[in-house]
Amino acid sequence: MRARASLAASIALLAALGLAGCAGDPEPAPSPHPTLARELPSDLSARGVLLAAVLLSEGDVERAVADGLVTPAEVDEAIRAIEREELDVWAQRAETEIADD
Amino acid sequence: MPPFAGTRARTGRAYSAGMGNRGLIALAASTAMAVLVIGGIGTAAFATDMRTTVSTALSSLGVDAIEELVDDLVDEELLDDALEEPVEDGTDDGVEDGTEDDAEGDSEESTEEELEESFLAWNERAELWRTAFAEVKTEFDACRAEAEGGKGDCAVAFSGRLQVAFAETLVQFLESQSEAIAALPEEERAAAQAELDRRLAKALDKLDRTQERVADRDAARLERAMSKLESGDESTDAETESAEKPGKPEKPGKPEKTGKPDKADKVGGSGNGGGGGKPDHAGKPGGK
Repeated sequence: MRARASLAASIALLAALGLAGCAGDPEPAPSPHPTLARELPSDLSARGVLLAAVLLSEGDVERAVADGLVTPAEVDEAIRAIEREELDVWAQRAETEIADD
Repeated sequence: MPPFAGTRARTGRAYSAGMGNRGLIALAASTAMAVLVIGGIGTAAFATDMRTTVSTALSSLGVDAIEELVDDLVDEELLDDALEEPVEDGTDDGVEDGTEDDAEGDSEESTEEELEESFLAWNERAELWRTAFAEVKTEFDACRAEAEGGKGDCAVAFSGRLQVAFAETLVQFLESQSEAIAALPEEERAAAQAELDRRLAKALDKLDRTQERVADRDAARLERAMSKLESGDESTDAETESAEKPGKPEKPGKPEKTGKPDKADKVGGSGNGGGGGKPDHAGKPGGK
């Protein structure tokens, strides 16, 4: 008798938990990082930011700007991204752009 | 003389002539193949070096880029001009040793090591790197706050300091590993110390080269700035003179003419010398 009662109680508890889970609003999807969502000006691209970051650490960024390989805005953004450790977000955006091409 | 000797002789000559042609064709074909193969290997090696440089740079900045992204960045035509020459350094070492094979081996080994150091040591070096970056960034912010027109110079100076700081963190990191070696069992200590010494020597060498390169670049930049300033002074003088003598129309044109060669110098012989007509952005993803 007692076993049957405890079984019924656990089923009720599970059902209540299940209902509570269903009744609540679904968790909102995490909003994308602003860098992924924001519209970029014409002199800024994710690819350019990554190139600028590479050149900042391994190349001649002045020459790259003079050659039109990267824009000053991209150099600025790369510096900002390195500082905030957000370069991986730019990489993510660049990867999405490549996949969309 | 045997009855068909003449025919045989003619046939023999024709045969040998045929062989000659065939031989020449074969030789030409094999030479062409060799050129193609060597060219292909050269191009592949070049692409691999560029790839490694880009990949190493990104990973050292904490980015784990997928292959497609690295390939896409490496595809940028002007990138090799703007990148420093890590391959040349490796080759130079090899040339000093006197064997090309060694040079190739060294280059492969060094790029592998660089990657390994970037990936494996990043977490341990990250704190050092962050501190170094913060210091350089403070200087950069101060530079930008002071600069009115030439903010681009701050970015260039920042880049140089960043490269030196990065090379310094590698040295610091390796130096800090001596304690870890002391904690190893005695039989492993000597080999580990030898390996550490070798890497430390390489890191110090890289630091020297980076400092030298950045100093050279800074000096060149200063020289260009000075010559620009001088040409600016000339133009101001000319303007003053022309203002004093308004009857002479040809004077205002003169400073512009003297200014042009400076601009060409500023491009630094990059080949395309695109100075004034610089595109807003070359090779953007949108263009593909």
